[in-house]
Amino acid sequence: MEIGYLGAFLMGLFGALHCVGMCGSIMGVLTFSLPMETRKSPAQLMGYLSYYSLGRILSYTLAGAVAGGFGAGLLFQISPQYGHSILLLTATLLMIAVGLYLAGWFPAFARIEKAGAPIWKKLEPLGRKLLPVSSPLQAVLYGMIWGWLPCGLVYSALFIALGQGSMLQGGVFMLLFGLGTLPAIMATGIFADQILRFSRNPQLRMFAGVLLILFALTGLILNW
Amino acid sequence: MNKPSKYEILGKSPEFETLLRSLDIASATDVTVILTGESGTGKELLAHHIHKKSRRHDAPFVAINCAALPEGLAESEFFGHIKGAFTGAVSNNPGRISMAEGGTLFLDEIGEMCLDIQAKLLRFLESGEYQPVGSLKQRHANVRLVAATNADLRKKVENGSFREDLYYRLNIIPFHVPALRERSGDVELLIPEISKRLASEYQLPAPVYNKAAMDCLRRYSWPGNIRELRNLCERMLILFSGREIHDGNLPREIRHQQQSRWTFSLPDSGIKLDELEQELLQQALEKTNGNQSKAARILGLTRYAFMYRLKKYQLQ
Repeated sequence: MEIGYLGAFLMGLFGALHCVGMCGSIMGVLTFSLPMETRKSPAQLMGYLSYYSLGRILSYTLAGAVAGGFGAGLLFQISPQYGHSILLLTATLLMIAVGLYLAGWFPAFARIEKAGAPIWKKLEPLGRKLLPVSSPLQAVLYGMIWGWLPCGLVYSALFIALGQGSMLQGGVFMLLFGLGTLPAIMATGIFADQILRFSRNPQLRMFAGVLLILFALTGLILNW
Repeated sequence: MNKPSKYEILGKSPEFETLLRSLDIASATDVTVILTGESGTGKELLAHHIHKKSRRHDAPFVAINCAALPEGLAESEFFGHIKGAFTGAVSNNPGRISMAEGGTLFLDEIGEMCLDIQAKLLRFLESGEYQPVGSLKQRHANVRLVAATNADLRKKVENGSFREDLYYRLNIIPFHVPALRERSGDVELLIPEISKRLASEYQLPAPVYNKAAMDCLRRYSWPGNIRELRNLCERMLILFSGREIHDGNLPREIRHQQQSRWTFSLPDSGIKLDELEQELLQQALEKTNGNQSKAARILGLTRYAFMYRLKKYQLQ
C-alpha cells in the first residue's frame, strides 16, 4: 500500500471535514443564489450541485496532471533511485501534517494557503462575473474557478501528486482526491447548518486526523 | 498620503483570510448572510466589506443595532411611520428599510430584536413587503440583508426569545468570525498598524512595544477582541507616546493573565480531578448566566473544548 489512489480518496474524504468550514459556506452561497424554481426542484438542485463539483474536480484533475508530469521530470532529474524515496517521505510528512491540522494540533499548517493567494486574486474577479449562476455551463465554469481557491488540503494533495510518476497518474490521483471530497461538500449544499455543526465536532476531527496520520505512516513503512 | 478608511479591514492570519475569501464570494450574490462571533470581532466592518464588494456598493449601507432600539420605537425605526401615526409623529419617517433601498441593511445583534418586530421582519424577508406604522399601504423594498449576532440563536429559539422560522430564514449561510486569539499572527500585525493610525489621528509619535511586551500581548486572550486591542493601543499611545513600552507598562489585567494566580494547594488527602473539573465548569456557567462562550473564555478554553467537557460530564 502506498499513498496512492486509496490515500487520495481518504485524504479527500476525511480532509473535507476541514473544508466544510470554508467550502461549506461557499456551497451554501452558491445553492441559495440559484433561482427559486431551481432550488425548489430536488432534481434540478442536485444537478447544479453536481455541476459545481464537476468543475471543481476538473480543476483538481488538471492541476494533478500538471503536477504529475512535472514530478515525473523532477524524479528523473533527482535520480530514479532516491527521487522516489524523497517524494514518498515528503508525501508522508505532508499527509501527517494534514492529519495533525485536521485534529487541531497544528493550526499553523493553514499558512500553506498563502501560496495560492496570488492565483486566486486573479481568478476571483472572473468568478464574480459568473454569479449568480443561471445555467449548467456557468455552474461548471464557476466550479472550475472554485477549484483554485487557496486550500492547504488541496496543495498537500497536489504535492503528493508530484510523486505519482506521470501526468495520467497525477491527474487520476487528484480526481480521486476530488471524489473523496464529494460527500461532505455535496451534503453541505443540502444540509448546510447540520453539516457545519457536525464538521466542527472536535472528536470527529481528531478521529479523522489520527486515521490519516496512521494511513500515511503505514504507507511509509510498507514502501520504504 | 490617503487617510485609511474607518472601514478598512486589517488581518493577515489564514483564519481571517479564509473568511474574507468566502465573504467575497457571498458578496457577489444577494444571499442573506449572518455573521456570528464574539463581541468586538469586527462584524459590522465585515458587513460593510460585503456591501462594498457587492453590486449594491453605490446604494446605501444602513446599519441598525437591534439591542439599542427601544421596544416602542423599533417598528417605526425599521419600517417608518406616517405623520400623525402616534403622539409625537409630527412628520413622515421613511424608516431604515426604505433608507437602504437598493443597498444593504445590516442588523447588528439580531438576537436582541423583540418578538413583535421579528414577525414583521420575517414577513419582509419573505415577500420584500412592509407596512409603515399608521399606513394602510404595503410598500416594497429591494434590500440585501446582512445580520450579525454574538448570541447563540439556537439557544434563544429553545428558550422562546427568538422565532424559529426567522432563525431558519436567517441562518441559511452562517459565517463565523474568528476571535482575535484564534487569528494566528494578527495581534503582532494589528498592534503596530493600529498604533500608527491612532498616532496620526492624535498627531502624536507612536510608541514602540518591546519584545517582552509584544510576547505578553500575544499570549493574552483578548476577551474584548479587536475593540479591546484598539482601546489598549489608544491608552498606550496617550501614556507612552514616542517611547518604548515594556511588559511592565502593560495594564494589570494583561500582565496578570500571564502570571500564575493559582493559590490552590493540593490537600494531603488528595482530590478527584474529574470532580474538580466539573465543579469549575458549573461555576463558570453560573458566573456567566449560562453563556457557554463566556464560560469557556473565563476558563481559558475554546468553546469547543468547553462543550466537549460539558458533554463528557453530561452537564448540558
